[in-house]
Amino acid sequence: MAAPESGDGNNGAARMVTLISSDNTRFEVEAAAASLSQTLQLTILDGGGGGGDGIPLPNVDSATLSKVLEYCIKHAPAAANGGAPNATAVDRAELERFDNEFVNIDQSVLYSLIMAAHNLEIEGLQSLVAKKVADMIKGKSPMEIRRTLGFPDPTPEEQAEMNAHMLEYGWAYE
Amino acid sequence: MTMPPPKPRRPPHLVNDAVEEILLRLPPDDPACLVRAAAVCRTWRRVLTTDAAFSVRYRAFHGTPPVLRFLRRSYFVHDCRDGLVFLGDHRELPEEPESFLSTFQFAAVGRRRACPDGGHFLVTSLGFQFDAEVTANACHYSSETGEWGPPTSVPFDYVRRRSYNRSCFIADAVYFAGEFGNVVLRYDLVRQ
Repeated sequence: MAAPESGDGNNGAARMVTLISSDNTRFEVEAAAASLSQTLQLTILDGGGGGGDGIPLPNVDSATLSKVLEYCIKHAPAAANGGAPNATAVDRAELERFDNEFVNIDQSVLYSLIMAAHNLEIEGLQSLVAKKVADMIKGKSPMEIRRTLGFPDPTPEEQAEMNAHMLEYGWAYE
Repeated sequence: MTMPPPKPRRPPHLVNDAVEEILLRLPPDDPACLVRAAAVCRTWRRVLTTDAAFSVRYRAFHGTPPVLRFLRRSYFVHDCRDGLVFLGDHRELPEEPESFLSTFQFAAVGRRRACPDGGHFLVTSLGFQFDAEVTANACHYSSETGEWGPPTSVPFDYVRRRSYNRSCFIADAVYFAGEFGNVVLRYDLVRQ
């Protein structure tokens, strides 16, 4: 599978690493982008992931990983600037536009993204997705929230607790 | 090597860290939203209602005290401060000491400045006893010790007047002003 294009690297010779998704797809990506993941950072610093080796990510499937890497590649230059204190307003606006567009996705993908962002410990992505989910559940009932996030149907016991809660705090459901 | 079967698209509940990140971002100015979230499942309920560390994070994140305790009925609100609300009928506090004989009670709630997020709080109770002479009584409850301290009293020139009752915490003292006269009563939390 082709590596995602990564824009201008350092002098055109940025170090690349290979990540392998749970369904065995290989992704070649700049080390700087992959290093946004706290989980991967140490391995990469130790020289892992280069050459034919690749770092296996058994918890992340290829669809999710490609989405995660899209985020990392976009955010890597700003992260390399130490949170981009000297980024221009245009750069920041562009990242914001990207972020808004990025989370405008199907709910099932969003869920996989939450899990991947946590497994890989990508702080910015965790916040971004958590914010999106919080926005999505704001006006919803507990049952709608469960469906939105793909929780299993409640057990009879859980259902009884939800009903009791609804009776007790009726004002919150009006 | 055998491949694991593809994961079903109906995942189990979210991992705890992810839950916290989401709940942290629910708006503090929409208590109904927090209440409904608490009904989603036991984990969410635990985080929102009993997890003190989360409560501290939430306050820090939003810079405002959230409404994270839910009330069954309307209570008389004595005081609120530092993300705490003290209600008239709060059964979780023990009774004040028997020697604290007072009517017309006022209460102030707050945290000691030294540890604003320590989770511990103080409730200061001020009351007046009407015998031949009026005395002002005060004592305070600390959530750290779980007990009321010994009451202290001073003779007091009580003048009933129309006013709102107010209290404030400054350093290690609570100041009360209110319908009991044109004075401000100071209760020293350290020297009592």
